[in-house]
Amino acid sequence: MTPVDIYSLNGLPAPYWFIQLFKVLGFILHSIPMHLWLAGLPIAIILLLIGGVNGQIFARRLLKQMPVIMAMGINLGIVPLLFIQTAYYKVFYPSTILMAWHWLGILALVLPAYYLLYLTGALVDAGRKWLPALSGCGASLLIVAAGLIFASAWTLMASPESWAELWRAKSIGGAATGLGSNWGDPVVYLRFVSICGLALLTVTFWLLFDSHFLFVEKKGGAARTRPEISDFMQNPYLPKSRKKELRRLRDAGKLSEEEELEALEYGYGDSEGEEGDAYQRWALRFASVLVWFGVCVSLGSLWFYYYKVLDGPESVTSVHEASMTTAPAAPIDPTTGEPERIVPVWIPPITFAATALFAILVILGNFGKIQGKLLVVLVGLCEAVTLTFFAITRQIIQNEQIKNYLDVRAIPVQMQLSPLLVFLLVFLFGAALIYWMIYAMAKTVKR
Amino acid sequence: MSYPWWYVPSLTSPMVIAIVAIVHVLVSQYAVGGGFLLARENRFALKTGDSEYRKYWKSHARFFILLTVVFGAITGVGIWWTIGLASPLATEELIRIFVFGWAIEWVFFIIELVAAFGFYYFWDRLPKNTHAAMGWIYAGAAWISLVLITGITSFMLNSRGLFGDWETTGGFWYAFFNRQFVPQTLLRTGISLLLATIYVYMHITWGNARDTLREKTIRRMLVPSVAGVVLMVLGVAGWLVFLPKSALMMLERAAVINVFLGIFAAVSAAILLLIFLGPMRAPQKVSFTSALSLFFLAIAAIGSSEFIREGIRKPYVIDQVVYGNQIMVGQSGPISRSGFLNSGVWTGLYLKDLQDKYPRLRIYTPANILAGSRSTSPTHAPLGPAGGNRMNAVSVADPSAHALPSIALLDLPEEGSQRPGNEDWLRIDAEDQLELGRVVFLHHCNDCHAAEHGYSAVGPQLTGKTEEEIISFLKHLNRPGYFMPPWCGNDTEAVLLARYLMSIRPEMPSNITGKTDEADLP
Repeated sequence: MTPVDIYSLNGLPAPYWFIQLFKVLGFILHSIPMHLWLAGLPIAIILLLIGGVNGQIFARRLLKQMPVIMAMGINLGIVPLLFIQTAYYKVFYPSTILMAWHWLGILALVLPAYYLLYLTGALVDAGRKWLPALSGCGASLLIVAAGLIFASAWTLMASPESWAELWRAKSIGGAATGLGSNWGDPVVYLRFVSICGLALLTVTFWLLFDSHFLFVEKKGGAARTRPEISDFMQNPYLPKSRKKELRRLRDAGKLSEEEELEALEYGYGDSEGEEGDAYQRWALRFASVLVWFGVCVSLGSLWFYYYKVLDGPESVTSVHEASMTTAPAAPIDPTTGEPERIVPVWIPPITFAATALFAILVILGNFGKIQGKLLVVLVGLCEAVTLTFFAITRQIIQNEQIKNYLDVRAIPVQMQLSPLLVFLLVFLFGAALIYWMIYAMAKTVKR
Repeated sequence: MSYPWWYVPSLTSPMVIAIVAIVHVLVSQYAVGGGFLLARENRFALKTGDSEYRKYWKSHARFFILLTVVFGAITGVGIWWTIGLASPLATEELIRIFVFGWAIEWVFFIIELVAAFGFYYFWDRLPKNTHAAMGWIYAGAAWISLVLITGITSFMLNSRGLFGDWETTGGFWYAFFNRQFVPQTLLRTGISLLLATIYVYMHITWGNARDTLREKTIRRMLVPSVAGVVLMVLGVAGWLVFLPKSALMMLERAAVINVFLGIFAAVSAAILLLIFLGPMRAPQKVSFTSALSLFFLAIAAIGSSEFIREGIRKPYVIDQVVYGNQIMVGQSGPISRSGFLNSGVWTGLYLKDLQDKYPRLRIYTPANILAGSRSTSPTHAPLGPAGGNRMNAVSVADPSAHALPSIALLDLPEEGSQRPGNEDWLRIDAEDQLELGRVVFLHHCNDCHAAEHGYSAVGPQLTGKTEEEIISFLKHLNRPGYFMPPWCGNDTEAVLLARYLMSIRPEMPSNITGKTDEADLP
């Protein structure tokens, strides 16, 4: 007997590849902001507290960007979740019902985290240091907890063999209380750590992108701004005594041009662009440190995925001994007699190579071998390749783990052609409209 | 019967949906109406060059974003997740039918988000026309997402189509353009506008806005308020005209729905009266307290309307597609013949566990139904048109692709016969019988009824009834009350459930006992 009911399957509304494409694409798009709030937020808090001038610039910029990043991440997460429910509902619903309260708990964690991020941004704007660190810390803890529950849910979904035990432990009259959890399963934590590794790479990329594409654009504007009292008060890089002194000089009308510029460092850079360049140099240096952590954790987790998860489990047992269905481990390749490779042989080398190249580029950038926006574009490409192949691998593994219960690829298609075409048209229209809006905003920033 | 039932003590899991839904609707409707107001008033301020008025709307935009983008988005996901937990089969069906509707809605969500952030964060930086356009893009995208979700939720109330029935045609558009679509779109648009004006009253009276600004803002809300009321009246009229017959009858016969209908009518009238007396006639006198009162009345109106909306759908959760207890329409007969407990994956698992204690207990879960009757080959019937033939849709995909024994739910006994063996259950320990009855109760009835205490608790409703009366009632569940799903169990399960219900049934209240002939009591 199996806990997955394959006897009442609905057809897929679109071809299998289409659903997989949008599920994977949606996950990649969702993962970028997700990585930023998962790893970027704690890094920003640390930099805010103990970072130097440039570290604080990055910290404050990221903390102020965070509410928008959070909003995008949540909305971009809808598509993968929608297509999971389209094709994987037979495994998705039972697993989430078994851990219903944990699953709903994600919302209870994310909602205050989201508001805390707004608060953090506002406090950063007000030039505070400890208060935003505190609220950011709270948000970060809530986000990490939500992330762990997500890791737990996807792990549970991919292991129907564990459901019955969970259900037995947490049910009343055969009905699930929704209090089940698989916190004892080490895969939950490994899954979470693997995401954290990739998250570090994404933060590295964002740091470079922000410093080379977004930060420098603001330099010109700063030169035209005259310092206000609030600038002195909010400038986080000035010691209190210096602030006091500058205010006194300003009030007395004795503020020199140099001292005026001192006040404008906060978030703008100076009129000469030296501050911007210094920030970019710092960004490269910091990226080359960050990337080591990211690469080590990412490669470790990728290795884990490719060579550990895919090797096991030896067999998958069904939920009840009385009618045990023992599924084979990885199918045997008839030509070699070896277990068949689940992930196409060319995927791991490309993923490893992209991740390694990511690190090499950052290090070369630090040594000044490649510089400027070209470097960022190349790093971005490596990031895209790494995320894409990781997402593809993740999908292949997910399919493989549940294959013995539900083979999504074998579900017939009940094509819904006209709504699908309308969706694609709307998607293209939406992309164009969003491009126009972002372009309009970017143009304004440049001006 | 594919999914575990989520047991929420006292409240019942569908009520969790109701709570999240009401909270979400209060914000999501504002996200639509408020978007329209922001775009309109921003345009007006730009046109008239009223910088103070425009400044106010910037502060309102901040409040709007903090509420809708954060709270609205999270509670929206909350509804989605809760329906998946409490009504997984219905959610599965809705997603099957409307997946691309939701996907299109997602595109508009992203458009909304980018437009909202652009509109607020670039308030004074974008060229005026571009800024105004961004406001209208937000308003348009938000309204389209309302239209899209209304097409889906209105289908749940009336699955009959405007141009043809989804049941026979199986097409997405037939399901989307159902008979409730237009009325509910009008109604929701009207509610959105009216609710948004109430939010504006609250917001402007909360701050320290100058009297003239306050008065001007409130006066400017008149047109949207009236438009909202007109749309609501049209929507309610259409909603009544296009209600399915069962829903219309429910409006008349169910006392609790009568009460909520009364509350809705009275509260709506009170809102209109207050708006007439306050913002319309004396805008300068509108205070935060009065605006807050309007808001609480709006909560009462929306809460009661949501309750009515859910209540009159019974026995369905999706009209003529899925019953409230997560059983597909058309499957109650086959499930009943096979045995309710036998038919479910998780109830079957419960039976399997029971076999540990009673090794000789004969059970017929899908897997060994198959083992006992392989005569019927796996169903490979085509699945029918997209979203179409529901009975075909329960056939197994390609079982040979699965490393599992291939069976179909349709592999069931002929009509008039029953799987043997269930009478075994009446020979197990009394305690286990009660527990089996509880399993039946939770999976068959708990979607609408708590057990002893809580929401529509069934225990107190059975006081004074005999076991035979309860059994007879269960076997004809949808006869005296057509708003109940049909009985999906067999005779043995009716006995087990009746015994469980007897065990949770409170005794006759002592004050009643004292005044009644003892001999008449059970």
